[in-house]
Amino acid sequence: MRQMPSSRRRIAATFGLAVAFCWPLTAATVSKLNDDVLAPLRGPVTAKQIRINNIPLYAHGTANIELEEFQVWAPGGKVIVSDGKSVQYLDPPPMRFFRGQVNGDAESFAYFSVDGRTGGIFGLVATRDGKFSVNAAQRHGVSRDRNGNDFDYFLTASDESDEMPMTGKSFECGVERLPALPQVNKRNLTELDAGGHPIMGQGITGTQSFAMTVEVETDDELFAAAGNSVGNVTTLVTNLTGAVSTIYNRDLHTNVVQQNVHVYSNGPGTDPWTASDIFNGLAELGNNYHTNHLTLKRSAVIMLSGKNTLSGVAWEGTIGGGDFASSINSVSTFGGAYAWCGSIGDLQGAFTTTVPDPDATTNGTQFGMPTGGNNYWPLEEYAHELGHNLAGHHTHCVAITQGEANGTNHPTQLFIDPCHTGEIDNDFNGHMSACATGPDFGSGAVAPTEKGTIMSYCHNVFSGQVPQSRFTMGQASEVSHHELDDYMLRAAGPLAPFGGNFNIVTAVGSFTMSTITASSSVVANSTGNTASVTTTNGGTPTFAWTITGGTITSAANTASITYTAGASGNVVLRATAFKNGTNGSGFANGGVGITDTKTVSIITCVAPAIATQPQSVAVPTGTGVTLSVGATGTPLNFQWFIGTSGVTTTPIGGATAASVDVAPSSTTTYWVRVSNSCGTVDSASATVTVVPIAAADFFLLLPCRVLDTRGGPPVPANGVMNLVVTGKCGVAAGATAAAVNVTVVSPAVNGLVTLYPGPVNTVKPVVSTINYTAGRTLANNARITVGVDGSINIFNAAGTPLDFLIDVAGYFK
Amino acid sequence: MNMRTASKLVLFTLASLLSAVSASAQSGPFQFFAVPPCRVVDTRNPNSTNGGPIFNVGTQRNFAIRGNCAVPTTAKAVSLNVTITGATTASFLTLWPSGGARPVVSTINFTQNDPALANGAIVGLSTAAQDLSVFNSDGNVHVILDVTGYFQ
Repeated sequence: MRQMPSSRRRIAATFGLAVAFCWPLTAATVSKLNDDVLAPLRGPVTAKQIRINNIPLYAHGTANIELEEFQVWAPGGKVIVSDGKSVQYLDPPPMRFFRGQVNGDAESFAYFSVDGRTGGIFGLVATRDGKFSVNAAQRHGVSRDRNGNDFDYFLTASDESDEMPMTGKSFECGVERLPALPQVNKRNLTELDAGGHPIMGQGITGTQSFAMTVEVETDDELFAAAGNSVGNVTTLVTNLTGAVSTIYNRDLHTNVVQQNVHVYSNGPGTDPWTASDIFNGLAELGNNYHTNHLTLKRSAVIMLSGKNTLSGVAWEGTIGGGDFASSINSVSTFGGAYAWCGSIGDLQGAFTTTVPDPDATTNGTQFGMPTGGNNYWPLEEYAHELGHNLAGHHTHCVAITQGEANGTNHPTQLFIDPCHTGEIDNDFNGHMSACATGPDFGSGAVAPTEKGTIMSYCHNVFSGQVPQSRFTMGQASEVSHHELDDYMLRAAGPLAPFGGNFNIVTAVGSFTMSTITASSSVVANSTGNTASVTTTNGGTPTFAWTITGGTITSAANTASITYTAGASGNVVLRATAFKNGTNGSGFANGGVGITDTKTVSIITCVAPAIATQPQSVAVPTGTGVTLSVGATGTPLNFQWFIGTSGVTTTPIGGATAASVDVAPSSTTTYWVRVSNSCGTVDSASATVTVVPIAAADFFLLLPCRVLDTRGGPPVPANGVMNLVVTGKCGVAAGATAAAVNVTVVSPAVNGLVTLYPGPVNTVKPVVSTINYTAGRTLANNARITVGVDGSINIFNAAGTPLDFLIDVAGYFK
Repeated sequence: MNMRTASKLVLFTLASLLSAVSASAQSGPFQFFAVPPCRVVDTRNPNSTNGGPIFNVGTQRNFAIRGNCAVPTTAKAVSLNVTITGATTASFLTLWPSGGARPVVSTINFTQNDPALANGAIVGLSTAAQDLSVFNSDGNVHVILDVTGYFQ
């Protein structure tokens, strides 16, 4: 992360292309889709995770597509419709957006939108083999039933050779010769946050997520282009924001959500926008919002204009900085996070609400921008101008390395997309000054080594000469990407723009979801089975569960669900969590979904039976002992109780396994109930008799070897050997302890031995009797406590079996 | 097989017990009470009476044995396993009833090459709250005491 450069406000622009040479995509292959194929997209709104099957993508068969919903509208966002006399606040159209993948194709991407009013569906699918679109054609003579059933749907395969190459007129350079603007709100890495801590940059390659909210303005010209339809304007704008969010989420970990969309609905003269060019338009936009909406919380304001300007313009590096007084072409205005995009709507022929797939591989380039048709311009321009607001500047003079910028470690100066050398200085890091003498790609300079980006200046101007530009801010290893780190640094400061005390872009933390917690098996047809997930940094997340092989019987949009299992096979649970709601600064966090899947096997219930009863045992005071039961049946649930068998008044908390460790202070009886959904059986009682510590006299013996494992099995690795010592070497029955010398013989590794009283199910205390070193035969003297049953346990804490000797010198009784 | 000096060291500690508990050479007779093996001191634990810190060079610490690990306040001596670990140099420990002069005995001898080493001991206990003294001669070392019984 480099130090943030000192920046000057400046205006950057993208210039467009001539309309006349653009043609719509030509269909190469068209398949009519059966009515039921797309039906899941119209399913219940709680189903944020869906799957559509039998899409005929391949000549030899069909494909299935997994999709999850994401959000484009911020909570509280409205469509604000003005007819010049009054203003209506409409709820956003019930548009739903899905993105996902073709099953079995990791390179694929699918993007669908569903119009909740008409049921109309629009889709794009890019696979490793080709690119497809899904479009509706309304049936003739059928009245709308609002379920989309009055449409026929077609899958169209696009043949990239059919796409028309772009050509167009050159661009203007005047914008870059605007006078330098004053520095305001300069921030850098030494800035402190509200808590007095230095602001640390958030790496784009990290998992930090951000969200920003945009206000969208439109004008009379766009309304006219949209066939005088508020719905068409809103749908186009929403589709564009969804695609922009797809790019920003992928490359900058930032979700773009739109708050209010302003539509002017009464023909020419309804809107307040009188300027006819991009510069005066931007000035007008800034003045209008500074005057009328200063306290409206937003990250940026985007004008999507139908005016045929062939270009856009935006203030650079202004998100989170608040408004500032400035002027453009001697017109006083307020600068800030404002962007102005022209030629939206009918630039490429008939108006369409569709947008290209920003994740598709086009012309052989990942995220490639189409070179014609497909309504690519509005998406490119929107993403580009918003990028300026974020601090990203044009990448055509950004070099891969400083050496390449200087031409010192490369035969020529080498820039990401050196299409235009006219845009000089006013830039950061010296790149621009180097660029000033670099080759102009439009004049036939060598192709750059890095593909173009959203922030290229002129990627669509020179057909066939500029390399494939892309719907991307650049990828992790690319300089263009690093340039945009600036924006992330800005995103963290204690900012107070627009009259409010809040951060205009909000770091929302790394949103995570746990794996699904659920039993690995359930009984056939059993009810009340549960599954759950947990999330972090999700605000108030929303959840979506799906199930196969069973039925969800609770709400499916909460962190935990209850389900009924099917009759056989597996239950497959799938959980998705979406960030949602608002964070502390009042901004929406977009819908990034995280998914986990868990397969639960369905088993047949077999009634439980007890094979081995828990055994009564006597232990010295203070000794723990493990009680166990052996049982058959499927599945098996256990609950241990204190008391005699069948008395359930005193269950032991947490004692729900086949064994339980107990350490009673006085003699106590226990039992266990074994159950499942088809039966219950109770064990016999088992009593743990506690024998008080008793006084003992010492009895001397002739030294005698009571254990020598060299003649038999060694003490197992990380295991226990039980040895009865009473009755051997003269140790009398009833001995409470023995005086011994213990010896480890040539151990292979370092380790230790713990001697403790039997029986074998005594809980091992955390003590040591002898610590040993690899290769070293070693002895120690000890008095070891003997169990009530006359045995001791020998535990070897090492990964290798151990030869062990015990020599008795006497005992206590 | 090298049986080393374990039994000899025990004899030393018995001698220290006898010399420390009374001016005469012996006290008692006592009876033995076996207890479930129990860790009563571990200097690797957070700082406390029977926990850390680690022993430094020439350090004496007094631990509280009676009242812990089922050893009653009436106990006169305790059956221990003394374990060292993390030694930084060759050294030895001396264990004796607290309050008296440190006897010239060693309870366990070790070097920095021992990852961990143990020795059994029977040591007298004084009537003070912290009834057992442990002295480390050189370097740093962690000390662990496991009780297996007591005499009274």
